[in-house]
Amino acid sequence: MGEAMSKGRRETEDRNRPDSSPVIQLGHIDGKQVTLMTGFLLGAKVFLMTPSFIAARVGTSAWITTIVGTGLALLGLLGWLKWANATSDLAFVPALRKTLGRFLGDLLAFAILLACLAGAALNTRVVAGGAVIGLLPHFPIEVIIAIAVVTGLYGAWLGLETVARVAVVFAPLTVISTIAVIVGAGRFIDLRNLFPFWGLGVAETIKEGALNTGLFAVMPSVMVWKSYVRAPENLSRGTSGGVLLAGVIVTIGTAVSITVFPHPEISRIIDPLGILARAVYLGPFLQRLEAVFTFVWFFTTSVQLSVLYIIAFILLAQLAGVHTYRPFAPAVGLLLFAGASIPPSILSAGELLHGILFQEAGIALVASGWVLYLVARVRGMAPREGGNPRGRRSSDGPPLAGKKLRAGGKEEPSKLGQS
Amino acid sequence: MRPRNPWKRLLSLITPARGRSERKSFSLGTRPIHGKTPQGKERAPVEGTKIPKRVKDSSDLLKEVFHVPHSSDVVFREIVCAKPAIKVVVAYIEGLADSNKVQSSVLEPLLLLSSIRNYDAKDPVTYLKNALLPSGQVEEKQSLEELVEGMIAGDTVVLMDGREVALTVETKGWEHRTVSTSFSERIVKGPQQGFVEVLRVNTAIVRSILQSADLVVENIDLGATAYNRCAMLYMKSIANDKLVAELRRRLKSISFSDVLASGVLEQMIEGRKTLIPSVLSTERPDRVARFLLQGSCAVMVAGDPFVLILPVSILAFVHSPEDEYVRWPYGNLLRLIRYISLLLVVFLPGVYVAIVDYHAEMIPTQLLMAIAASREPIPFPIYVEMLVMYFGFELIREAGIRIPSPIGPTIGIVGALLIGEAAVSANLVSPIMVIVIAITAVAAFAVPNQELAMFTRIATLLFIIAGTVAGLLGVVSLTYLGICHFASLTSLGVPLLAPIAPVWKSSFSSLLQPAAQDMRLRQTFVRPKDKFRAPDEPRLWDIGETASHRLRSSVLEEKRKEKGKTEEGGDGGSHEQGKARNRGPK
Repeated sequence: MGEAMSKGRRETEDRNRPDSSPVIQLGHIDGKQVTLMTGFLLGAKVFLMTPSFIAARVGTSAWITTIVGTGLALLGLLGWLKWANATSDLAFVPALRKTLGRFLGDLLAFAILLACLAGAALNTRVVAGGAVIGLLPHFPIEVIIAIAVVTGLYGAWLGLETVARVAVVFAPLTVISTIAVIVGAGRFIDLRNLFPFWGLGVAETIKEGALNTGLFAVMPSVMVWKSYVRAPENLSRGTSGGVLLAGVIVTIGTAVSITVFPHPEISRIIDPLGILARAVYLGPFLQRLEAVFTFVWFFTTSVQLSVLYIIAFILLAQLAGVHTYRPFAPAVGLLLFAGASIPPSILSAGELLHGILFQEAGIALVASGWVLYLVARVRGMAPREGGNPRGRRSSDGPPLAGKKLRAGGKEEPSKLGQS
Repeated sequence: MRPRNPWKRLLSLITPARGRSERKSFSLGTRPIHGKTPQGKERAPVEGTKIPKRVKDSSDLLKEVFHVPHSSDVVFREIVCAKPAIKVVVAYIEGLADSNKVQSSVLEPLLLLSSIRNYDAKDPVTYLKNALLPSGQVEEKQSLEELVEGMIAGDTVVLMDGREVALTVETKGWEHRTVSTSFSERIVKGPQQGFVEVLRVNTAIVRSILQSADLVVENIDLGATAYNRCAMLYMKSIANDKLVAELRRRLKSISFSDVLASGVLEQMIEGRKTLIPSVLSTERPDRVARFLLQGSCAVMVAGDPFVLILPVSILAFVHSPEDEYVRWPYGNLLRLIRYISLLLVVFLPGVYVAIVDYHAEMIPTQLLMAIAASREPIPFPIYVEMLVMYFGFELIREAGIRIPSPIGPTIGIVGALLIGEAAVSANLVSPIMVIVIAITAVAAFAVPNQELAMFTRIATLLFIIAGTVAGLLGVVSLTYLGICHFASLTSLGVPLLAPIAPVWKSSFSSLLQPAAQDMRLRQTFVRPKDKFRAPDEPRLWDIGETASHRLRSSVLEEKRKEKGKTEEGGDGGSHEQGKARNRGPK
C-alpha cells in the first residue's frame, strides 16, 4: 500500500517536473527588474497627469508634498515587506487569507485587484484620448483603446519575465525622452513660481503630503511578485528602489510643471509635460518634440499596462485558486476595453483616476501593510530568519502555498534560488 | 487525420507554443539537465550481421546491399594474392574513394608486393594489415554494416576467403570545392578563409585556428538511419556543461534522418517557430573560433559550408567579424552605421507612409509642400505607391540572385527602369518615394547576416501595413509587440535580448566595440566556466613584466609555498627553524 502511494507520489512529482509539464512558467525576476517594473507601475502615467491635480490643491508647495508622500509610501512599503517576510513561504493571496481569514483576505485582494484594473482602464483612456487629440483626430477612439489594450495584453500574455525584459528595454528611452523635454523646456522655467515654498503653511503642506500617499495606491500589488523573485532580498530592494524612483519622477515632474506654469494656470492644464513637449522647438527638420514624446510615452504606458495586467492575472489566478492565467486574458481585455470606453473625456478619466486611487482608499491600501504585519505577529506568524527559503513548503498553508503560477494550468514546486 | 485548426496555427506563430517552450525543457540557470534522449527515440545498438567465411558469400551480400548490378558506381574486384594464394575481394565506391589511393594503397600491394614476403598462413588478416597495406588507417571490421558504412564514407573494403573479418582501408577522396574565401560574409581586413562542404575539412580548419587540445569535436549521427552526420564543437574549459549537454540532447533527439543542410538543422534545434532567427549561421571559421572562445557551441553539418552557432544574442546578427579586426573607433563607427541601417530598413518606409498619410503637421512646411507637389500627379494613394515600389525592389533583388551570370547586367537596366527615372516620368511613383526605397535598399544590404536581412524584409512590409492602418500609432504598437516577442525568445535557453535585457556585465562590449585590451570579459550571458579572457592586467608590459616572467615568478612562488608547507608540516625541525630556512642565507 505504502509502496503504491509512494509510486503515485513519484508519478505526481514527475508530472509536475518543469521539463515534463506542457505549460510555460511565469519565470523569475531579479531586483533591477522589480525596481523598473515598480517604477513604471507607479510613476509612468502619474508623472504626466498628477502635477496639475496636486498643484491645483496645494499650490506652489506641491512638489514638497510629493516628497512627503513618497516618504510615507516608503514607510507603508516597509510594513508590506515585513508582512511578506512573515509569510515568506506563501503566495500573495494565500498569505492574505492566512493573515486576515478567507473573507477579509479576499476582500483586500479584490480591493488591490480593483485598483489595478481601474488604473489600467483609466490610463488606457487617457492615452487613447491624448492620441486622438494630438495625432489622430479622425480616428475612432475605440480603435485606439483596443490597440492599447491589445499591445499591453500581449506582453502580459507572454509572461512575467518578458514584461520585466521589456521594462528594461524601454526604461532608457523613457528617461531620455523625459530629460529631453525638461532640458528643452529650460528656457520656460521660472523659479519664482516656486515661492512661497510652504504656501499653505507647514502643517497643511504635511497634511496634503500625507494625502499624496494615495498616489502609490497600487503599490501593495507589487507584493504578488514575492513568489517570483530570484532571491528574497530582491523583493525589498527592488520594490523600495521602485517606489523611490517613482517618487523622484513625480517630484521632478511636479517641480518642473510648477516652475513653468504659474499657480492658477497649472490647475487648468491636464497634461503639463505634454504641453511642454509641444512647446519645445527642435529645428526646421522636425518642428516639435511632441510627436516623439507622445510615441515614446505610448511605449511607457504600454509597459505600465503590461505590468498592471500581469499583476491582475496573478491576483485573479490566485483568487480563483487555479494555476493558470491565460484564460483570464480575453475577459480582462474586454473588461478594460469597456472600462476605458466609459469616461467621456480625458479630464473625466483623470478625475476618476484621481478620485479612485489618490484619495483615502489609496492611503488605506498603502497603510494596510502595517496592519497585516501586526495581525500576522499577533497570530504567531514568524518572520523569516535570513537565509534562503527556496524549496521550503508550508505544511499548513492554503493550496497555492509555496507554489508557482504558470501560464498553462499546472503548479510547480517552489524553485526560488536555483538560478 | 484531423486537420489542424488554422487559427491555432496562426496563433502559434506569435505566441509561445505550449509545451514546446525552451523554458519548459531547458534553462541555463535554473533547470537540471536530464541529458536523456526522449523515450523511444534512442537509437538501438546496431546488431551486426556476421561476415560469412566464404568470400563469395560476403561479396554477394555486399552486392545485394548496394543493389549491384543496378548501382553502377560500386566496384567489386576479385584478386588472388600471390604467396600463398588467398582469394580476396576489393570493394569500393567509385567517386567516393580516390582511385589513385585505391591503386597505390590496396591493389598494387595485394597484386605485386604479396609475392615478395611469406606470411604466417594462420593469420593472413594481420599480415595484410601490418605488412602489406601501406595506408595510414586500416581497420578490422566484424560486421557487414560496418563495411557498408565504411564504403559509404569512401573507404575500400578488403574481404578475405575463409575469414569472418574484413579490412577497411582509408581511401576517401571525393571531389569537393577547395577552401576559398567566404561568399556571404566578405570583409576587407582580416582572415578571408571560408568553410567548404566537407565536414572533416571544416573541423580541421577550426582546429588549425584554435590550436588547443581543449577543443572538442563530437560527431553526432542525425536520425535513426543517419543519412548524414554533424559535428558539435565546443571548448571544454570554457563552454558551460549544461549548455553542451542540452545541445547534445537536442541533436540526438532529432528523429528525422534526412537533415542534409544546416538551415534544416537550425530549425530542428531552435526553441520556437518564429520569424526571428535565434541561431547564428556563418561561413567564416574565424567567427566560429571567436564564438567558441566566448563560450558558445558550434554545429557543423556534412555537406554544408554554413556552421551554426548557439547560443547567441540578437546583437551577434548585426555584428561583423571585421569590427574586431580594425581599430576600435572604426569598429564602433561600422557598428553604429549597421544599427542605423537596421532601423532605417525596418522603419523608414512605414514611418514615411504614416507621416505623409496621417501626421503631415510633423513635417516642416517646405518639405511638406515638396512632398505634396511630387505626389500631385500620382494616381495612387501613398500606401499603394509604397507597396508597388517595395515589391518592385524585392522582385529585382530576387531576380538578381537567380539570373544566369551572362545576362546579369540586364537586371540592372530593368531595375533602373522599374524603380528609377522611367517610373517617375510615367507618373507611377514620386521622386521622394524613389529616394525612400533607395535608402531602404542600400540600408538592407548593410545588414551583415542573411537571416536577419530576411527578417527585416518581412518586418518592413509589416510596418508599411501598420503605418497605413493606424499611422505612427500603428508603427509604435507594432514595435512594442515586436519587442515583447523578442523579449520572450531564447537561444538555447539564453534570452535573445540577453546583454540588454536582462542586463549583463558584458553588455557594453556586446553593444559597442571596446578597445582590444579592454575586452576582458567573455559573453557572460552564456555563463562560461571561465568568465575572463585575461587576468587582471591584460598588457603586462604596461607594468614592466612579460608573460613568461610572470609565469616563472608564480611558479617559483608556488614552489616556495609548497616547500614552506612541507617543512612546517614535517618533523624536520621546529616552526622557527622552518621560517629561518625559508628566509635563506643572509
